[in-house]
Formats: sequence, C-alpha cells, structure tokens
Amino acid sequence: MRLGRWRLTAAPGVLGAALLMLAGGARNASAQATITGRVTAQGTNAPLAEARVLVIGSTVSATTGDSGKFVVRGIAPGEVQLQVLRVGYQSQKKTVTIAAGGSATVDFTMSIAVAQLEEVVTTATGQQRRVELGNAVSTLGDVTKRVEETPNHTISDLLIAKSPGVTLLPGTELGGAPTVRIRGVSSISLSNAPIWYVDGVRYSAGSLNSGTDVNFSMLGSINPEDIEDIEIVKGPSAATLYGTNAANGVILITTKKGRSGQTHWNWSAEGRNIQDRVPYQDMYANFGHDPLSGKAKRCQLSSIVTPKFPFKIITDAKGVQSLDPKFADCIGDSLTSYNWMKDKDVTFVHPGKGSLFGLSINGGNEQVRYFVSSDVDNEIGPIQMPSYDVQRFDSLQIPVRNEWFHPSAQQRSSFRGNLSASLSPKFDLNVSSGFVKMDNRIPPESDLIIALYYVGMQNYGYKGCPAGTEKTGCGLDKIPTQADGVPLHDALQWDPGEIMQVTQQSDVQRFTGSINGNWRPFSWMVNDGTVGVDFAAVDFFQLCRLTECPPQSSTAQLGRVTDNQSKNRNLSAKVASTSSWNAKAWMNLKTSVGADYTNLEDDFSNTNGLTLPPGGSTVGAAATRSGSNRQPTAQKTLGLYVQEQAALRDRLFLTAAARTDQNSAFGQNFQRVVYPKVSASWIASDESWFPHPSYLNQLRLRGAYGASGVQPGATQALALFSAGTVSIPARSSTATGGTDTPALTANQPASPNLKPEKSTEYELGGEAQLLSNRLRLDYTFFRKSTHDALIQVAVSASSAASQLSPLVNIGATQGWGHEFQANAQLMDSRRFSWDVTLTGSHLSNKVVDLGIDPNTGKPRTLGTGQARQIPGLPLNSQWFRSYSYSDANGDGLLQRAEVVVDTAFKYYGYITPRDIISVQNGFDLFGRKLRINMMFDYKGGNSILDGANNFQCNTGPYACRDTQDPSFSQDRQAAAIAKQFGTSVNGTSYKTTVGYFRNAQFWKFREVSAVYQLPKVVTQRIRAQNGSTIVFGARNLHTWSSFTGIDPEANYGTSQAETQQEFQTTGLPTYFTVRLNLKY
Amino acid sequence: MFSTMHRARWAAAVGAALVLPGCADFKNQLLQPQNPGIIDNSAVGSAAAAAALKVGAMGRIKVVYTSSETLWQEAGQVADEYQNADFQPDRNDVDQRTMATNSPYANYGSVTQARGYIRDALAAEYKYEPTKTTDIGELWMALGFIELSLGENFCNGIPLGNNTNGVVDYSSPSFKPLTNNEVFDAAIAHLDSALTSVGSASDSASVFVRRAALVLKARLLVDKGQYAAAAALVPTSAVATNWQYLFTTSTASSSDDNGIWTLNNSVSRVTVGDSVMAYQGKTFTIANAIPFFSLNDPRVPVITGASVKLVAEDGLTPLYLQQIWKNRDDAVALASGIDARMIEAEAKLNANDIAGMMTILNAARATPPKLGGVLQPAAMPPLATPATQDAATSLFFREKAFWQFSRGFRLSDLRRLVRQYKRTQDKVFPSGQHYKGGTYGSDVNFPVPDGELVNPQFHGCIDRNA
Repeated sequence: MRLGRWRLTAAPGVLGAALLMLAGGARNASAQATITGRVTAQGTNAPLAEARVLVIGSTVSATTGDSGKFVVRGIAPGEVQLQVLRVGYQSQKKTVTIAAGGSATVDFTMSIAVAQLEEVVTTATGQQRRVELGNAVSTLGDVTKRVEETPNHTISDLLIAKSPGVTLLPGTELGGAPTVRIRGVSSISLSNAPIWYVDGVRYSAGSLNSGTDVNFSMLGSINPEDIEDIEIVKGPSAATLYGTNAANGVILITTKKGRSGQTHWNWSAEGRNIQDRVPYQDMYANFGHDPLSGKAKRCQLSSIVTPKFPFKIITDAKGVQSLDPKFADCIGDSLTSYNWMKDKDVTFVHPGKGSLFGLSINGGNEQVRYFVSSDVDNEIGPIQMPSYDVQRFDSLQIPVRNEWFHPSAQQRSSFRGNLSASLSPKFDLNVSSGFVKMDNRIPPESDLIIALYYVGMQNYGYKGCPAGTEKTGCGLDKIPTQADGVPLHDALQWDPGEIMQVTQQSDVQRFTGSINGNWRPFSWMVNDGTVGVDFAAVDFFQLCRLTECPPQSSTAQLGRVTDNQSKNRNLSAKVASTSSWNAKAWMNLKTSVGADYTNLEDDFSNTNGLTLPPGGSTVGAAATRSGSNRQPTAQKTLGLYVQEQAALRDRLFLTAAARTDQNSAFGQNFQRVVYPKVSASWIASDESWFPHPSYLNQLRLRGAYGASGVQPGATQALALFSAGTVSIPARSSTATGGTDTPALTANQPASPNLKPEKSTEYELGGEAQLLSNRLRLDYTFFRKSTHDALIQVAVSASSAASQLSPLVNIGATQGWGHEFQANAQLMDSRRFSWDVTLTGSHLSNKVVDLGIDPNTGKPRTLGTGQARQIPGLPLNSQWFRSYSYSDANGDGLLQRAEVVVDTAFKYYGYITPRDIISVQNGFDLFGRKLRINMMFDYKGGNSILDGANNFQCNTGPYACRDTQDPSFSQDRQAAAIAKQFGTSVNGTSYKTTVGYFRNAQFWKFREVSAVYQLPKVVTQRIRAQNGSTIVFGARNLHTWSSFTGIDPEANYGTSQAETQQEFQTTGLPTYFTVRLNLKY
Repeated sequence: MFSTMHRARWAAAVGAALVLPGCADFKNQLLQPQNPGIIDNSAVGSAAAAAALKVGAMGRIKVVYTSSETLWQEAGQVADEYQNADFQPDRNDVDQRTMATNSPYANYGSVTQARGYIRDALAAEYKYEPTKTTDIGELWMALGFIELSLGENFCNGIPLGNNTNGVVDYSSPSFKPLTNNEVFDAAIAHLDSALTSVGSASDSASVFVRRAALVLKARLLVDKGQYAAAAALVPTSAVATNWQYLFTTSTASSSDDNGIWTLNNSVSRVTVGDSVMAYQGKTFTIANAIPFFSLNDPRVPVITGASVKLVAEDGLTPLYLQQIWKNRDDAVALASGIDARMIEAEAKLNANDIAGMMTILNAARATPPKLGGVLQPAAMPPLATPATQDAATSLFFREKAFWQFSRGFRLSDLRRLVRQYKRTQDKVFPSGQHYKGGTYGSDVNFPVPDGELVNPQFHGCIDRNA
C-alpha cells in the first residue's frame, strides 16, 4: 500500500500561491453591464448561429442563437472590445463604451473567410481564442457539415488525412481498430497512442481483441453524427496541463449542443454499397514432370530444367537412382494462373450494404437548450457465403444461419441527450449523455489458417482439374476436398463455408456522460467544473457448435465456445478557476488554477467451454469448462496546475504554467512529477510599425515549450505473484491421475523507482493570411525529447528471474518534424468557386540513449531481429539480412546458388509512415447549389512487409508468381529464393525476408462527394427547410502504389513495437453512398 | 481597498474548495492502488504459501512438454521423432537442423527460468515447512531434472545463474557458462540433495520421490559415461519396471493439456517421423531416421491423420499421429522404471555383455510396462542377439527410442551416439535432402540464444558439439 506518499505541503502550497495571484488579479467591482446584438452574414444578411462573441480581456462570452442574436451579460463598465468568431468567417472586433449597469447594442456583419478552422478552441483551462495560444492546435472545423456532406462513418474516417502531424492507419475490416499517432512515436515500451476526451470525460480508446487476429476499436462507439467539434492537441508543448499520459497528444471531442431558437429537426438517411475492390493477386501453377519418374509435379523456378541448368541423375551404392539435389528436378510443361478471390463462381467476395437512419432535435431558449439524437447504423461487410456452400448445407438440411451467410456485420445504435441551462446570468449547467450499443460480427478472416482470406488468396494457381488428370487426383498438388471430404472448390485446405460457421461476435454497451457547471461570480472570474463517467461493458463471443467449423484440430468439431467479458469504468473530475485583470490599459492578465482527477478501472473474465451438446452454445452447456478473471485494476491520477497568461495589447500573448501529478502506477519511491510550460503568440501584423503590404492580411508567430508524460501500467511497480492450479500426481506408483492443486508463482519483482516517461517539446511556427484572406498558410516545427523512457532491459534467462524484461527508466528518444497547412480560395464567383486545403508533415525520430550495456561497456542496443532499438537510429529501426543475386549461367532464371544471403544484418529504415500529405478540394457550382468535395492523400517514407507474398511464396503450395512464372522479374525470383532457401554457411541457414520488405508509399483517392441542395420545389413539397441536401459519395476509390502486397495501409499486427504489416488480410473496401439530409 | 479584500475573500473561498481534495486522507484514498485481484509479497509468508509455491514450481517444470513449441517436441524434431508440419516456414529450421542463434529455440528462457521458481519454493519450504523433507526433496529433484534437460539438449556453454528478488549480479561465478558435463554435475548435486532430504524414509511419498531422484541421477551418470555406476543406482529392487513418476494434467484447464497431444494430435503442427516423406508429388528418403510411422510398433502406435479426418497444419505434409497419448489429459512420465531398465541395459552394453543387455530388453518386450498413464503395449517377441558391438549399439538405441518415445530422450541419445559411441552426426541424425527444400544441416543441439549475451560472462556457445 502506498498511503501517504503525497506530501501534504504540495497541494495547499501550489493552490495558495495561485489564490494569491487570483486575489491580486481582482479589480474594483461595480455594477455590471449588458451588450446585445445580432450577427449576420455579409451579402445575404442571413443570421449566423453558433457565432462566439467574446469580451476581450474578460472571461465573459456568449453564443448566437438561430436568429443570430446574442446577449453578453456581466460586463464590467468602461470601454469594451468585442470580438466575434465563427468558423468559416473572418473574425471581427468592435469597441463600445458602456456605463455601469447600462446596456448597448452592437451588430456584426461577417464576411466569409477561407480558413475553415475553429477560432475558439478548448484548452485545459477552458475555451480560448486560437490566437492566444503559442502552440498549434488542429481542429476539424465544421464536423456536422463534414458528416453530412462526405462519406464519413467512423471517427477514423473523420480524422484521416485531415491534420498535419497526425498519422492514422484505418482498420481494414468492418469495425477494425485504427492506429492513431500524433507527431510520430516517442515511446519504445509504452503506448504511443493519444488520449481521448469526450465532453471532458476521459474516453477509453483501446482495441478489443477478437480472440483471433482482428482488433476492434472502442472508438467505434463514437457516433460521428453527434460530434460538433474535434480538436487535436498535438504534443507536450500543448498538452502540458493534461499531464501524465498526454505526451502522445490529446484528442478532444465535443458533442453537439442545443441552441436557442425554434426547434430544429434533422433527419438523415443513408444507403451504402460496399465493394471489395482490393487487387488480390493471381496465383500460378507451373505444370511439369519429374525427369526421372515422369510423374507430374509443380515446378519451382529455382529448380526447373533450363538449357543451362539441367537435371542430373545419381546412383547410390545399391544402384538406386535419384536426382542430384544440386541440379534441376523438374521439367516445366505449361503455366496457368488463377484468382480464386475474383472467380465469381466461388468467391466469398460480394458487395456489402449499409444504411443509416438518424434524427436529431435541437432547440430551446436563452435559459434552456437541448440536443437529442438517435441513430441506427447497420452495415454488412463485403463477404458472403459462396453459393455452393449454401447449396451443400441445404442438401444436408442444415439451415444457413444469417451470421454464417454474412459473417461481417455491424450495428450501432446510439442515443444522445445534451442539455444546456443558464440557471442564472452567472451560472450555466451543461449535461451531456450518450449511450451506444454496438454489435459486431467478425469473420475469421486473416491471421490463422482457419481464415477466409488465407484459403482464398493462397490457392493452387489453377481451377478445377487439368485435362487428363481428373482420375489421378486432380493433378499436381491439389487437395480437392477438406480432411472430412467437404469439397474445397479450389480453395486451399479449408472450406470457406465451414470457416464462416465460426461465429464471432462482440457487443459493446457504453454510456458516457458528464455534468459541467460554469459559474461566473464576477465579470473577472469564471469557475468551471466537470464530473463525468465513461462506462463500457464489452462481451466477445466465439462459437463453433457441435459438428460445425473446419476440422482443423481434433477438438474443433466437438463444439467449443469462448465468452470473454470486460468492463471499463472511467471517472473524470476537474475544476478550474480563471480570473482576469486588466492590469494596465495595454495588459490583461489571466490566472488559472485547477485540479483534475481520473480513475480508469477495468476488469475482465474469460471463460471457455469444450464439448457441447447438440444445440448447445454457452459455456455453461459445455462438458469441459475453464475460465479466469481479474478483479478491477485502476490507474488513478490527481493533478494540480496553475497558469498565468498575459495579453499585451491583444496582440502579444504570453503564457506560463506548471502542473504536478501523482499517479497510482508510480513506484513507491517516486512522489510526483512536475510539468512546466511557457508559450508566446504574437500577431505581428497588428503592430503599428509592421509594414502592411497589400497581399498580407495577418501574420502571427508563435512558440511554445512544455512537458508531459506517459505513465507505466497500473501494476508495473508492484511485486506480483500469479495464482492458478496445477495438476499434481499422486505420489504412488499405481495412480495415473493428478489432483488440481492451488499454486503460486512469482510474477514480477517490485519496481519502487518506477516513474513516468517524461517528454519535453518545443515548437515554433506561424500563420499568415494573404491575398485578401483568400490564402492561409500555417507552418510548425517541433522537437520532442523523451527522458526516463521505459526500456525493457533484458535480464539473462539464466538468472532464472521471474521477470526477464523489467521496465527501467533509462532511455531517451527524440522526435522532430515539420507540419504545414495551406487553405486557399482559388476561385470564388457566384457560378463557380474552388477552395483547396493542403496539409503535409514530415516526421523523424531517433533513439538517443538506452544506457550502457554492462557487458560491453558501450551504449546499449536492444533487439537482434527485425525491429531494433539502436542509439542514433529511428525507434523500431528495421533490420534484415541483405542479399544479392546474379543470373550467372544466363538462363534467365535464378537458381538457389545464384542468390547469396549475407550473414550480417543491415539497417532498412522506418516501418511507419513519415510523410503524410493530403489535398482536399471543394467546388461550388450553380450558385452554390452543388458542391463537390474530393480528397487525395499520401503516405510514404516507410516500408512494410508484403505479408501476402512473403507467405504465399514460401509456404505450400508455393503458388505465387515469384516461384512459378518464368517471365516474372528476377528481382522477385530472388526474393523468394532468399526467403525460402537462403544461404547455408557452416551448417547454419541464413534466410531473409527483406525481398518482401517493400516501399509502402501510396496516393489514395480517399473520398469524393457531390452535395446537391434540394430545390425549393422539392423542399416546399416535403415542407423541409433550406439546407436540405442529397449527397452522393464514395470512399477509398483508388490507390496508386508500387507496393506489391494487398494494401500499403494495412495495419494488421500494429502493436506497441509499431510493426505495421499486412498478412493474409484484406484492404480497405470501397464505399458508395447516397444520403439525404432533411432539415425542419 | 475594501472591495479588493472582499474579492480576495471570495477568491479564497473558491480556492478552499479546490484545496479540499488535496487534504491528505481524501487524496490518499483517491490515489491508493485499487488492485484487489493482485497477490503481493504479503500473501507468501506462511506454510500454506510455501506449499502453493511448491505446487507452482512443479507446474513450471512441465514447460518441457506443455504449451506450444516445447523442449521435448522441438528436440524430437531435431532428432527423428517428429517432422515439421507447420505452415510457418520459419519453423523449418529446427527440423532441418539449421538453427541461428538470434532466435530462441526449445523454450530456452522458460526452461531455465523454471529453476528460479523451484528455488523460490525451496526457500519458502525451508523457512516455513522445514520438516517436510519429502516436499523439499521433490523440489531438489525437480531442479535436477530441469538442469538435466538443459544439459542434454543445449550446447556447451549454459550459465546456471541466479537472482535475489529480481536483482541480478552478473559478476557471480554462477553466471559462468558451463559445459554440458558441468551442468550434469550441478544436476547430480541437486539430485543428491533430494536424496539426502528424503533420506531413508519409507513412507510411500518418500519412496516415490527417491525413485525419481535415483532414475534421474542414473540418467545423468549415463550422460557422463558412468554406465555401471548408473546401473547400480536403479536395480529392479530399487525401481520396478512398472514404476512411473507422471506429469498429470488438469482436466479443468485447457492450458495444462498434454503438449505432445496438442501439437501432434490436435493442432497437427508436427507429424510423427518416418524415414520416408511424400511431399508435393515427390518422395524423400530421410537418412538415419527410424520409420516410426511405418513400423507402427506397439510402443509407438501411429495412425494417419486421414483416419480421424485431420490434415497437417500446412495442408501438405502427411500427418501421422502418435497414439500413446490419445487424449488431452493423458499423463506423461517424467521418470519411469523402463528408464531404469534402459540404464541397466546400456551398462551391460558398455560392459560388452550383449547377452545381458538382450536379457533386459527382451524381458521388457515380454512384459511391457505401461507407458504414460494409459498405453499398455502388447507383448513383443524377443529380439535376436546382435553379433557385433556396433550392431548391439544400434539395436539398443533403437529399442530405447521406442520405449522412451517423445519424452525428451532421443536428442540426447543421438548426441551420445556421437559423443560416447564415436559415430558422426551425419550417420546418426536425419540427413540428406529436406522435404521442404534444401538439405539438413549439422546442428546436434539447440544454441543458447543471443538473448543470453546480456550476461557479461556469456559470449555464445562454447561449442555446438554433441
């Protein structure tokens, strides 16, 4: 127990100092004034809702309702500067003088701006103008519009390729887990994933392991339809006040709120067609025969007879003849190719479909506003049981269950109710609540051999039986039936229909809710408090009923069931108080103090059963049952912070802050961690002396320095023993059975000095608005250094220690990069306008230090295989044995001896993408009646393993093109030989997979949509309002890449070691959608 | 001034609200690790805990044959008991005897780590249950068994280090790599501790443990070439032929299954070995390999996968399934009376008493003991007495291979044929063209993997000799 490890002096000391500042920040109170007004769009004079009206230098603000009207109360009298901000419009300031207790009216007319960015962002201390921040914060802009107008169905659809510095590898399966990295990776042993908040509540974003190979994302339970805004806080310089665990960035999701005015009803309906257009590769069969026996066989290119590589017969002492293995062993006769996946007669690849029906209602008045929504999103993936299997089951009088016929499916039902109440002019209360039920059906589809894509992709290279071989077992190496006689229809090894009988389902039920209070006792003070919970109950279920599923093991058809349940419970609470003080006419000070607390708990129980009775499907029905469970473990963090901001003439903004954290996962000897922060933001173009060339409208320079951390695992600091049962034999010579006996074994020793990884980061950058605000440029450079990095320092196995790779805080890493974004309005006329957003980033990292290796006295290195940690090289640097080849005999084919694999390993670069680029285009046509959105994105600077070919070329039936087609490139032939045979030196075989480690750069036509405003004649007939649209969209349309595998964006196997790869899996499907958005 | 003070009081009130959570008790409650499922040091200070640690340690020595890719299974692949039927091409290296040092093989880490669990349990037993000499003796026996397993299967150059509560002092002499012979000596010393602890107690448990220690010690003496001394330890009077110390498995847990059954009979990742392998339309002859499948000896009954509608994991390799352990919970012998008989027979062989050897072998064939928990082989006709010492050696090791199939003997025996009987590895181990491409290499043991290089006293195997 680690009671009392917090030193009592700390919290009161910090807060006391903060309170003194706060008190000092006070100024004379007097009767407060009110300003009302209206915000409209220039040109149309249409009211603008959701515009933020701020009183500069104070903590008060207001938001416009439907009518565009606002009321700002609690304003200190005197000269007041108002600023109005709204996404998509140029911000505007006005000054007004107001008497004590008086009122004034100020109206704003706003012009459209190119920058589609939120100008007010959420920070740890509350909402702030973007210009006040010294660090870059990415916002997605108007998420509602994106969701309505582009085919975005998941949070990863929304985030991908939108923000510089954010790398997102989407899950390739329906519901699959995306991998999100912000500004690359910095941790070798801990998570590199950002943390997520939804309406101020820490949100579990991990993945669910299906029990086979596919990870499903907890992020799938975020409904894009409910999101108002997404902000990405990128690194320690920005995330300091989020504390321990924020070093990898923070993603803040704000859900929609009601707004005052008449009640709005928004109906949405969408239909989807989902197509698997992945370029599955042809498989080949080189038909030949044995030179000695004449028997038909599959030739391998590396041992096929050529004029310069003959076969040779040797005779042993007993007169038995055989072929000399150093020479050719097969005479090639003909070549065939076949693509089972594309063969319409047999393939399980069929278009899927999906639908969405949603309703949201929002409205209210100045006192109470509400947002209520409900959506049902159904999707069936592009997998369907082959018709021959349906017929076979029918003939056996086995009803084909829907979960077999469509094993890939998802249903997400979500409900949200958000309430905002202004209980008094000084107190607002916001209640946010969301419930999601998400069911997934998961096909066994990649890693294991009981896997759809494995049996489909890795076929024999020919269809049916070649002429003349029907009576002799279908020729070559083909096994035409499964082990139990079920016909395979040219699939490999297992019948797809029986694989589809493996029923896998996950069920997530999740409630996320928070209550936020905002109290403004004075015009100079705002106090904000939030408490919330995120509860997720997760069930994963896998079932093969009696006699179902492929007979891949002796127990496979006895009936087996797995039922895993876990629960995540997060509690978040935070309070913050900000006080402002106009110390001088030209200087405003803001002091913030705050505290937050998170408690992340989870538990699980795993149960499984074997041998089910007919019809049995539960663990309780199984003859043999086993299980394990874990009581809740918790990760608790208590943080306190203080921040001082100075705004000088509302153009230079300086911030200094510090946060201290205590965490339940720290070691006994580690008390607390302190994270400091400073930043500056300067609107240089607002200076009077600044030259104002006509093309430059605004220039802002900014810089920030800050620190934050990543905590170790919940129990990593503790001495642990594991419990179980062991069968102990009776100590008698006649007994053959044992007795299950309770057992203990040491699991890990205590690590009293364990502390968080600490990252510090500085960033420098700036923004410029040019050409009458038609062009906006944004650039940031960052450098992030991580100290006390937790390294798994290998302990010699011969020490017999209970933990052979304990975590020790001895490492240091560094990451740096450039981020760039440009928004431009290239053309703007009534008939046609064209806006474009270009984002890009280039990311680098390296291991700086891993301590000294006691064995050599030199800097330590980690790993001896493909992924290594070596000072001076990138994290998870990739190493392979290289190889060379030469067609020495000039026969056009490579034989084994013509490929030489080096015994030494060589560095081969990064495995995760370094260069991220996206181009988003928007075209408005016909008086803005039609808008076309298009997005292309690029990832590159890395290589990944072409897992499909690496496997298909080197396991039976060796039917990939590299080993079969004589016309194929020698480069590919050499890759297969280097992998399968390698080079033998002194009896040791040296092989390499580097021939399949391929450049993974690609361009993808990610999304396109056409948004058509329904004409008045239609909206009047259905009594809808303006803004109702019909949208035609498509997603993942095409990929341009030289990558030789299935999909360079696959992230199967992505783990903490960042081992991105694709392996016998599929790529992203293509979506075609039509969506109707009706507004009432 | 007044208003400033007023505001300050307000601010102080708000601040106090913030400070409250910082009060020590409340804060400690907030941060207290709430991990009720964990077991920490406070739970292991009792006699009951010592007993549980002992059970845990005995469970960990099953690592030689339970769970995937075990020592006995991979050793059986290096030898001729099994052949690779795995769909992962990287796993051919074991079967092909071409193992690089940068990958761990044969569960090296877990096998050597088991020593630590045994030592933890011994320390607890001596502290809390010092009078339970049989239990203490059994733990010493287990330690000797694990060290025997390391010495028989891995290269020369095996450190037998230690730690104190996870802290490792690499300067300790214990981290010096030992030759196989030195490892055998260490194991013998621990088996002597077992025998000393058990003493001459006559209760059935003590007798049981003593027999196991005697058989293992005798096996180690054979490894050292001390055949007569070995045989003297295990006469029939001390260890009856039908005696067995069994590894039993928990019927309640699928993670405690018989690993031999799992890898061969269930998931079909290995196939019982033979001297002929048909693969992809071609027939390969494997030199030196005993045709376990073709012979279908009563001691190693084998069926084809087709008979139970199973195919090898790779879908291509012919699948042959051993039938000694037909069920997931069938027990396997750690030591047995038949082991003792083989030790006696080998002593006769080395004493040039071929007739004496044949007497022992044929007696066993006439009255076969039960193998494992279940298989009762039928009686077999006697073998003819070989004419030469060389033929007798071949016959002896062939008989031994059937009696002790898949129990971690065969690789060591093939090594001894090279080391003690002066045959060359290519005349003993599977050799020639490998059915999955390439030719067999020349490895005769497992390397201690490169991961061990963090021990500054370790610089790789001293040698890879038999």
